[in-house]
Amino acid sequence: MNSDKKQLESKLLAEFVPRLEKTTLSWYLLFGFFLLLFAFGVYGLVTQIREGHIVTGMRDNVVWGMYIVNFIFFMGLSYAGALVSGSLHLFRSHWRGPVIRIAELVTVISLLIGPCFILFCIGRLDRLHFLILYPRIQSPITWDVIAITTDIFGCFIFLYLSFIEDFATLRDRVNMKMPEWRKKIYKVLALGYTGTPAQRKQLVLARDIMAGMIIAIAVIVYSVLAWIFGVTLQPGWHSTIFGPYFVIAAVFSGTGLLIILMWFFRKIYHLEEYITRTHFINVGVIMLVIACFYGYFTFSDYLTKWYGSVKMDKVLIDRLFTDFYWLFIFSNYVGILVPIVVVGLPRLRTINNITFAALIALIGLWVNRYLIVIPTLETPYLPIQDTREAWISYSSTWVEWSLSLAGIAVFGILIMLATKLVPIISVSEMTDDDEKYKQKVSF
Amino acid sequence: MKNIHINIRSFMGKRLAVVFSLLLLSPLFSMAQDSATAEAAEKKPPSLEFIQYKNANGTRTLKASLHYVENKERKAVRGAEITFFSGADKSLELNKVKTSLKGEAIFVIPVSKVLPLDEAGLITVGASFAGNEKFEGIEDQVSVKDVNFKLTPNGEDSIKTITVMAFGTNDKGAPIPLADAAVMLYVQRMFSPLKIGEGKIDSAGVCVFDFPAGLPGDSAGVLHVIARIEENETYGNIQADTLLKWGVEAVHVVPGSYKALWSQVAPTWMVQTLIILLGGVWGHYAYAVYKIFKIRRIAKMEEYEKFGV
Repeated sequence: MNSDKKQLESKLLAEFVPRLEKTTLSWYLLFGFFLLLFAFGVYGLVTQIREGHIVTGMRDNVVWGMYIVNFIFFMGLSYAGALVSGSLHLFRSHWRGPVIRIAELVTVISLLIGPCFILFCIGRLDRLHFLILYPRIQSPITWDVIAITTDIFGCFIFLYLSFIEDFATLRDRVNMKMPEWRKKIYKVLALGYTGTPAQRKQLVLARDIMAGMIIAIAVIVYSVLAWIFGVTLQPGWHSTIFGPYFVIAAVFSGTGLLIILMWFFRKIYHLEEYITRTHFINVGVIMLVIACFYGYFTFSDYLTKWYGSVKMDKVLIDRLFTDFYWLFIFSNYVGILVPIVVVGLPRLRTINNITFAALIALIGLWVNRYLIVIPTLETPYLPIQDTREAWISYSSTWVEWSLSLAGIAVFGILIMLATKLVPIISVSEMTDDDEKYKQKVSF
Repeated sequence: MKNIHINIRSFMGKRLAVVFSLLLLSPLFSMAQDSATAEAAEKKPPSLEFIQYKNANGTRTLKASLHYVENKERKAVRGAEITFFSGADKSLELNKVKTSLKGEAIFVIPVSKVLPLDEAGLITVGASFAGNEKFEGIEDQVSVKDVNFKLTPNGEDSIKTITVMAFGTNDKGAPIPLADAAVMLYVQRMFSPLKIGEGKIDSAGVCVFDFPAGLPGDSAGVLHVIARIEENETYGNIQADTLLKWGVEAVHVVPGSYKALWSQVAPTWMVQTLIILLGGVWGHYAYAVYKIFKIRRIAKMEEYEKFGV
């Protein structure tokens, strides 16, 4: 490491280590707020377990509701985090340092939260183990179980590999004011890494392999999730482009969340020096390109369905433009155009503008998932004459909202805990010597 | 809201703020315009198609279809509340049913329900839609005489026949045959009934059909046979049906290479794909984990070289 890099490392450690050592009142307050939201979700869950799924808005016709919407949404965030962090690492983007750790954390934390919503949705949890005991390879649900399990393992390995150098740096730092058990954790997790060329070669090789793998896995796994819908003969779902459409939507939402988190951490930790306008513009441009692709896929999907005029597809699209009109407009017009306009026009490219556009895109994409799931289930092929009114129309209940908010709270809690374990900006990535990498690693 | 607006302006510049705000607010303008237009616009006149038919088991089926025309296209009115009634003065409300996604509402009057008769001995049934904020109200009704309609299969001889009997009642309550009334005989196919005979009720109130041989039935050879008098001026629509094992048993041959995912065993290509994918991915994981252990081993070796322990 040259002297400049050494200096930068010292500066970063001087800035971030005190944040690992001390916990401020505002940290506790925010943590307490998230715990309250989480407790509200637990209360909702207890109510649901005690009284059954009747306390949700799901009924015989609309058997999937907000839980599945949240599942798709969180999984999308995770896959986007994997794609972004994997790509940034693999292509050695020179600006990756301050943002890659946030993307890595988004990947793993979203991946832990998403599948929980499936468990909330299942009526007979006592039969859950049947998925493992009696799997049917032909079932998309089995594909999803295999894919998500594989993804969780891969993302954890990738995250751990990216932490090793920082664990070693923290282990070697003397006079850290923290309990001995925490120092021991750093020592164990650092694996005796000292940055020797031999160790570095192993680490770089492993990280590169895992970066490539999590990109591939992200595409495959989110496609599998899309195929759960795509292989089903339901109006609006039976589409050949659902796989790539879901992947693009995932990256779109993930870049949006990444920008929002960059904005938050920049404000909270005063990282103006490290996370600059250039980082926002760079991630913003990725968001812009993805927004264009996403808009193209959305238009293509609805155009072919509308032109095909299959009866129930037509009924579905009629409903999207009547009963769900404003949600549809917000999700598929405002949610796409705002990021394109804000990032596309140089004069609008301020940090706050880009963050605002990312927020609009993120909310729009949640609504998009809602519009994929709910209206279709309210428009089945079989006639729904003579069934109860409440079974035909879906309306979410406080229990579903409480668990949704709990999901957001757990995301916040885990991010906050992670920032207590390692610096939110990866010291190793910031001080990384890419030329050295190229010399040391040869495939 | 005011604060948000001020913040946006502060980081965008006035002109751009105006353009951007307009872009965001454009749906609201459109909404306001739409609602204003909707208020100004007159309610649309829907069309109501009402049919009723008497079933052989004594029940009576009422069906109302509500549609409207928009951009030269016939569209269903969904979720509209249809009131089914009986009596020329709508004295008896039978039920309220909401229209389906196809704009249809169906109600079956049970045998136990006594319908009022007018002075001429006619039963009046109808459907009405009271209207809502988008559509005008509309109603339709029909008056028919009650009738006894019966379908009897005769399958003992080599030639199978269906006998249909139809009788109304005179002023004194005595049965009178529905002479010259046209009767249709159908068998139900997958999507709609297939007409297999047409005849007229004779002076004795009877019509006999020869039943064709060789009609394909279900796997047990069962056919759903329906006899109907349709849109009779006096008696309306009348229907009787029965299940008869007079068809040819359908044999569903499952091809050896059936390409369904719900077969007992997963297709070979799928198993191969899964093994290749999982093998490739988990193989790489194993290699990465091996590298992690190697980092630890190198550290121990270096420690040993350095300190000799």
